[in-house]
Order: sequence, then C-alpha cells, then structure tokens
Amino acid sequence: MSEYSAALLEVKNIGKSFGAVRAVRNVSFQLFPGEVVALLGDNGAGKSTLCKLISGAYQKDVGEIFWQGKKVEITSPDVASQIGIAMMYQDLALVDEVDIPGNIFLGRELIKKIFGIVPLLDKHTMRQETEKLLARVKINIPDINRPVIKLSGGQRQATAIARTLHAKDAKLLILDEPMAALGVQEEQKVIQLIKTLKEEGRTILVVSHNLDHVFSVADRIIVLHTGAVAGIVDAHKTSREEIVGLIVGGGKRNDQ
Amino acid sequence: MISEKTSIQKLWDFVKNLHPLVYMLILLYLVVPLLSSRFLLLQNQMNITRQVSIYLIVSIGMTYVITSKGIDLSVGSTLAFIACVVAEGLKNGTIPPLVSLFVVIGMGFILGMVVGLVITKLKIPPFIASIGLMVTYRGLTHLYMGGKVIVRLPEPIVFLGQGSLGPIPFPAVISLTIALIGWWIFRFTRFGRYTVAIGSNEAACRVVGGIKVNRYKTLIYAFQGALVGIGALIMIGRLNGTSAVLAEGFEMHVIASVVMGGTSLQGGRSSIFGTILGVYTIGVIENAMVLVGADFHTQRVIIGLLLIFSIAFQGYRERKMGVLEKT
Ligand SMILES: Nc1ncnc2c1ncn2[C@@H]1O[C@H](COP(=O)(O)OP(=O)(O)OP(=O)(O)O)[C@@H](O)[C@H]1O
Ligand SMILES: [Mg+2]
Repeated sequence: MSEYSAALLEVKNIGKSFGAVRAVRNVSFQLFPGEVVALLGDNGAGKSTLCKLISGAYQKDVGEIFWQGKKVEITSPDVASQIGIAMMYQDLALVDEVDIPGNIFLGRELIKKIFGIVPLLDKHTMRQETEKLLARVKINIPDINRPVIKLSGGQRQATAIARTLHAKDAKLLILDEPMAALGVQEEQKVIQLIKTLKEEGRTILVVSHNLDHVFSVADRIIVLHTGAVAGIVDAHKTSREEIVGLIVGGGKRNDQ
Repeated sequence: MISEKTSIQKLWDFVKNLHPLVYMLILLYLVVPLLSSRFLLLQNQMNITRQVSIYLIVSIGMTYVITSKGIDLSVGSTLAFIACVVAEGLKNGTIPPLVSLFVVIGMGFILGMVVGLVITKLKIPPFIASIGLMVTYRGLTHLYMGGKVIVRLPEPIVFLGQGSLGPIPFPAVISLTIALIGWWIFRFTRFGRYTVAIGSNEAACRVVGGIKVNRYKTLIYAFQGALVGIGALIMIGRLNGTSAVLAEGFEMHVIASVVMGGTSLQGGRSSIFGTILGVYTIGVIENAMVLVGADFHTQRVIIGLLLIFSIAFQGYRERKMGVLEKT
C-alpha cells in the first residue's frame, strides 16, 4: 500500500482568506495514524485558521480534504465529529457561565427521563464522567460545579482539554495551544497525556509555541509562515535552529 | 487550615450575600407605612400580589430572553393583541372559557415565535426586531378593535383574574407556580441550560457544541410568548374587559423588574428569584405611589428612572465583582 492511501487525513492545496488577509495559502500535508504532529508558526501565521478548516468551524475557499483516502467536505463541526475529528479551540473553548460538566457535555448532554417521558439533564452521571476525564488530564479542580468563569486559566485549559477527550471515538485530536495557560507541572501532565493518547493509537495535531514541548512529543513538525507551509520535517532529524529559521521565514524544507 | 466559622460570622455572610432588593424591600416596608396607614392592611398587601402577578408571569419569560442575550420589547403589544382577540371570542361565544387557555398559549407561542424568526432568519438585532413587532402587533390590535371596548366576560375568566384561594389571589398562585416552573426549567432541562449557554458564548455553542442556536433562540421567544398569552387571559379576567390600548409601556416595567433582579443584559447570568424580587419591589413602589396619591404619569416617571438606575447599578456591581465586560 502506498503512503498516500495510508494517510488518516490529507489536506491538499487548501486556502482561506478573510477579506484581504490570506490567512491560509495553498497548504498541503498528510497526517498518519498514531502520530503526533506539531504545528508551529509565528503569531498570525494561520495555525488556528488551518485547524478550524479541518474541524469544520471555518469553510475553506479552495482545496481538498481527504479522510482515510476519501474526499470529504467538512461543512460543520458536526460533520467533523461524525467522521472522527475533535478539536480543542484556543479562543472559543468554553461557556463561562456554565459549570465544568456542562461545558464538557455542551451540545451532547446526557439525558434521563423521569416518569419515562420528561427529559431532564442527567447531572449526576455527567458529573461522574467529568471527574473521570479530569483524572485523565490529572489537573486538580476542587469544585467542578462552579461556573468556569471562576476557574484559573489552567483549570479552564484543563476543562477544554477534557472536553476534547470526551469525544471517545475521535481518531484525530486537534489541540490548539493546549499548554498556553498551564503551570510547569501541568504542562508536563499534558505532555504525558498526549503520549498516552498516541499509545492509544490516536493521531494528534498540536499547536504550540514552546519548542521544548514540541521536541518532547512530536514525531513530525509542520511550520507555517504567513499562511503558507514553510517546512514539514521529521522531529528527530532537525534542530531547534532550523525550526526557528523556518518560523521566522528564513528557510524551506519539505520531507514529505 | 480553615477554622470553623462562628455563628456570628455565618450570620454576617448570610446578610452580606442577601439580594440587594431584600434591603430595598425592608426599607420600603419601614418607610411606606409612615406615609400611608393603609399600606400594611392585609387587603392592600393581597392587592399588591394580585397587581404584580401578570408582570411576574411575563417577567419569567423575559428572564429567559435576557439571559440568552436577547430582549423583547413587543410583549405589551402581544399581550394586548391576544387579549382583544380572545376577549372578542369569549364575548361572542366562539371561544368557550375552557378552550381559551389553549388559544392564548397557542397564539402567544406563535406571536413570540415570529419575534424569534425575525431575529434569527432576517438577522435583525433583537432590540430593533422586537420594536418593529411591538408597533406591528399594536397596529393589528387597533385594526381588529376599531375603537371598540369589550366589557363583561364569562364568569370563569373573571374568576381567573379576580378570584382568590382563601386570602391569596388566584393570579398570585398561578404566577408563583409559573415562577417555580421557570426556575426548575433553568436548572434541570436542556432548554434552560442552552438559554444560559447561548447568552454566555453563542459562538462556542455553535462551533464547539454544535447546538442549533437559532432554533433554541426562536423557542425562547416562543416560550416567552406563551407566557404572555397566559398573562393576557388573567389580565382580561381581572379587568373584566379590554381595549386596544391595554398594556402600553408594559415591556419597560417587565424589563426593569428583570434587570433589577440581577439578570444580566450581557447574557448568561440569570436569577428567577431576583426577578420575583424585582417584580415585587416595583409593585410595592407603585402601590405606595397610588396610596400617597401620585398620578399615572408620575408613576411612569418613577418606573423609567428605576429602569435606568437598575441598569447602572447592575453595571457597577459587575465591574466591582471583576466580571469582564463582554464584547
Ligand atoms: N475570523 C477572522 N476574521 C478575520 N481575520 C481573521 C480571522 N481569524 C483569523 N484571522 C486572521 O488570519 C490570520 C491568521 O490568524 P490565526 O488565528 O490563524 O493565527 P495563529 O497562527 O493561530 O496565531 P496565534 O499564534 O496568535 O494563535 C491573522 O492575520 C488573523 O488576523
Ligand atoms: Mg492561534
């Protein structure tokens, strides 16, 4: 079998503009089952936009997306989650006035029926499931029943990550800066978590600005520069210098 | 180590966390009796609860609308329109009293749904959309009535508005039951949860949660409309009649009550208990004004000022609590 057909996700020449801003330009890459790929690039390089094109939050202007070799149109986040893509968003991750279980189950609340007809939120089960998920993220939150606006930045981040994990059958997890608000210890826990997820056979696309993190988890690295691919490299056959060079726009390399 | 709080500290915490309107009401109950000896009479107190009932019913719906970061200025016109159509039907016998309850709820649901559809389908901001429909519904009411006044309705309808269960006015029983159900829906149902979530972060609901936001928004206005319908039926019962100018300015009264109660115009934060207090506080103030002989226009001045004051106070409190202003 060729590498082509083995790819879990393939993105071909996709582009997206916001008015005059060409946020993503002619981007192509593949993601293979069970690998961790880091997406790097300067602020405004187009990382979040690219992720959102894959998760269905944005619609591409041009290009094609293939999922397990078949062409797909990811017209909404629903479509993405049905085919097995889950994303943790950098910006619009949480609903502030709702508690942690409410956020984790947003849009897919568990329902119990009283008297066999009246559908009610099954808060008890959602709370139990939430505790299990948070235990996986290993970040401690004393009271999960508070509106998330009252949590610390790291606790909010943990909630957003846990939410993504909740998509149990997701084959591809997209994490947009999952470590951004975390303390040193929590960062390590999330890195450990990413490794565990990889062992489970999931594919992970993770955005980060921290090269230490990237080199400790990533198999491959994709670098974006002003919306276009500056490089796709094997993480074990590159150096920090090279990556930094690609990020600031000094070089070009494509291992694919 | 957290030391056990003494009972005095606990009491202080309790007092500190009481709703500001509780203090307002205590103050009113200390001051108003000095101005009018009739204020504290049981008869007068029961009158207040009867007066505020219809406001409370609609305010429960408005609490949902405002929590979802919307607003509905059409409630007064909707109420008048339903009141006139149903009063006419009751009068000429085409709508039997028992059926009228279903008619008002159905009509309200549809008229409210129209508000929701104009907002979500035509993409018009709630403020403008509902002003437009406020004028439209009022115009329809005048067209329908053509200057006519309807009086003397069937006995059961009049009982609905004027009757009592023991000393407690029937409308008060209905409105408190509705408030309780409103609280319960917020806490335990998906509809209530989405109302909060949409008001709090609509984009996240759409993108992260995949929630059909427009459908729920429309449903929120329809729910509000259904409550307006119930309010309309009690209103024509209480007045034992109606005309096309019914419930003018009603919407301001309702919005003032809800906002005073602490439901945030920024969306996402609601308090049914606060709404009950807000409605009741305004009711007491109005009653006091009537007792001291203030006229209708003075009352409106006071309601207007209360609305402005309560919004300013809400903004102040949110800034003090460090809640960031949402964009
Ligand atoms: N919804 C939008 N409307 C208009 N412009 C947008 C929108 N989203 C992104 N952009 C623009 O597209 C470009 C890429 O933004 P994007 O958020 O993808 O960058 P990023 O690589 O994720 O940056 P960061 O590291 O700061 O998160 C930027 O110039 C940004 O201003
Ligand atoms: Mg970004």
